[in-house]
Amino acid sequence: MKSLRFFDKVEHTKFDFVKHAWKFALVSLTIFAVGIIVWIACGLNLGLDFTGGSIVKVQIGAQLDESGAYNEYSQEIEDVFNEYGITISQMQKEDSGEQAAISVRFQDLDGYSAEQMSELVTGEITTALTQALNPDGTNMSFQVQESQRIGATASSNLLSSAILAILISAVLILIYIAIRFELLSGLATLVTIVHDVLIVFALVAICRIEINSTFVAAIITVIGYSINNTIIIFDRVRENMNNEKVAANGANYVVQVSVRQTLIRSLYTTFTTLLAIALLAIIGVSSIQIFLMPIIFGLIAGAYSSIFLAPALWAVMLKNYTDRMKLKGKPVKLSILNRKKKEDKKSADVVETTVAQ
Amino acid sequence: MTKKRAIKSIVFVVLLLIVGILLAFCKIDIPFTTSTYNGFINSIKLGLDVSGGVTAVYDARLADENSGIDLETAIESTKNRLESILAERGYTEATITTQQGNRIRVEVPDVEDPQEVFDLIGNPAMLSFKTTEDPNAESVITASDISNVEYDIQDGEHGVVLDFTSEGRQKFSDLTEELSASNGSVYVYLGTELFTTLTVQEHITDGSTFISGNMDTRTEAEEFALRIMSGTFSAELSLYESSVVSATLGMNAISTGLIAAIVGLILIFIFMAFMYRTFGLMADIALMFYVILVLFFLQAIPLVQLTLPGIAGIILSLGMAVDANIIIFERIKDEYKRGKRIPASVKGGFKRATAAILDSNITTLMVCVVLYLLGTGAIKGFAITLFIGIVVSMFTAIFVTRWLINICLAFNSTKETHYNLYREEGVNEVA
Repeated sequence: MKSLRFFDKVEHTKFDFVKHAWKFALVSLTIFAVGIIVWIACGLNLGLDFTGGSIVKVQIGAQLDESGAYNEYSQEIEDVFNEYGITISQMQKEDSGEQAAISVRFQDLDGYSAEQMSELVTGEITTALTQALNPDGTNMSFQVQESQRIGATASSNLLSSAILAILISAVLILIYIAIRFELLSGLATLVTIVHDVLIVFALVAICRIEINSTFVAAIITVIGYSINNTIIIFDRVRENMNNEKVAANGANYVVQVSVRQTLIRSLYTTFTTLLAIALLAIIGVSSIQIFLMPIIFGLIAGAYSSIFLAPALWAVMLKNYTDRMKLKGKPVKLSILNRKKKEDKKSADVVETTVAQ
Repeated sequence: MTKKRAIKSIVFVVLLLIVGILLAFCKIDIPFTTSTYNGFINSIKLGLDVSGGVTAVYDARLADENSGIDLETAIESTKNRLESILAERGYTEATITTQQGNRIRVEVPDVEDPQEVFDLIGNPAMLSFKTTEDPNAESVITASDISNVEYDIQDGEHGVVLDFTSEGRQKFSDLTEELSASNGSVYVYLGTELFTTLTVQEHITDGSTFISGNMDTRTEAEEFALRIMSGTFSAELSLYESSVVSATLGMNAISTGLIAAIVGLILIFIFMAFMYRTFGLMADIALMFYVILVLFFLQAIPLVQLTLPGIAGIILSLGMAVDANIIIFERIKDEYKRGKRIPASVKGGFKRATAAILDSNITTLMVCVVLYLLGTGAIKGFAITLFIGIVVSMFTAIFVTRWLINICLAFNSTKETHYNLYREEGVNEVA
């Protein structure tokens, strides 16, 4: 049991999550700033899905069907392309028997026009491929077919519809949270979502991670985690605001208590989810890694923002709001504050047990 | 729960789990028949990125030289149309690309019959409506006014329903308004051939009409619908080459992915059992039911095709399933610390955790619905798998875990170490 007392310490931390929140906000802002600078200076590393490129079919023949042959041949092809500084975006086995081939897709080299690229591929690279894969000319099926231009697969349709879907979702989330919680929690949730997505963009720009059409799905996954984390914390805030004993100490105290109470859950959940994803990222093929990196960034950013930023933001907004209303001499109309009396009876048992502590 | 009922429940859970695992993972030859039962996991349709599929490249040329649009625009609109047709026939994960500027590359994953895909495009027929029975007369409505064609049966006659674009709807409305007064006729041409004559009896404003005649079977009518549909493309397509391709993620995507998933799950199981003891073990069993149920729905729902984004949706929902259990157990710990007995803590913990779990899952489900309605291709797949995963995870976390824990409580409702529960000193037990 002793070993678990560590978690008790975590739970009873004296750390003031509202007072120190600006420091964490500063960390995020720094990451945004670096991200924007890198973005402007070097651009984003857009993948084949967005830029298009070339496709070349290397016909190998029946030998390719033997077990292990694909890995061997594809490795050799990759080596040849790498020698010319070309990173292969995608390799596929096509057909079987005499027709069996490996199709290779890649982006244009920087500064090369489409013609120069095609010249390079049909000239030097074809010769190099032939030398590497069929040096003595015994493989009659071997043939490097002429390279063809291939357009972007990520249609503008995909992006615009995804952005529209995200915006509409944001409005729905705001409405739902405003009804189930109150408006300020909804706003804080939205800000947190935007924060997490921006952090992911910044880190992806900084780490030069390739952006493909699956990136859209990664971003939406990040949004999913973000909502989940933030709602769990605001659920505690809601509950504690309804608990007279806790609420009497003010919004900052409520946030303090709520974050502490959900801290273990945040750590455990982030840990288990990271475990599953990191494993896939470590042993998975490179395209899976490219896909999972933004999700891993987002998972960490989501845990971070739901602990250090969202609740503090809520407390600050609540204070601003009540101050402004007091100045104007208007009553403070927030369901979370006015519901208190009604639910006091319901939470009576909580009050009782808190006393027992 | 009494001990006697608890024992019965345990037998039931074990049996359910065994049957579930067998149904999900085992390949079984069905006795006395030649068919094989494949298990849920082998019946899931896989996307182009994880399993490969067929690729067809088409040469495109302008269908109508006089239409005033250039090839690029024609190819773009044909791509969009093709995409929606393929999506409608269940190939939601098909990708369409321009190749070499004048070719369209169609990649369709995991198809049982590649020919079916090629047939979609194979034999186009240009449908047009004319007001006189003269093949050279100007068409009032042309193929480009048609947005969709579907098989239908009306009064026992096989035929097709034409849906018009908003422009086409206006034209058709004007046409029927003009002709309905005199019970006039509309001549429906396929290319230069008169296909059928419609007598206009009323003013039709809803932008759709039923056409029948010369179609004896459903198959014939469906083929006809396809021909008209591909006749609406602004580019005429002819097959340039086709081939069967492997996974775009690479040959080893599935095997490494599966290994990672299994190892990841086992690590999560160990973590939960270590942190929450008996509760954790029960959560692990509930998670097994989660895995079985998710696999079942993935193969049972026809639209699902597992792609990389789809797998992300499953991981996200798996994370949320574990999360729900963690939230519940942390709540139970809180309740126990406050002095409640174990059964009361369990009851209180579930009650308090439910609101948080529901709120976070409902918001995510809303996002899924919006993504499904508005998204394209892979995004739709992501939305479906996430939706399935979340619904199943809510069910297993809230109901299955609770049921399992109640079984355990029937045998042991006092030993706190078995549940890794503890109170600080000085906290008294309350009733």
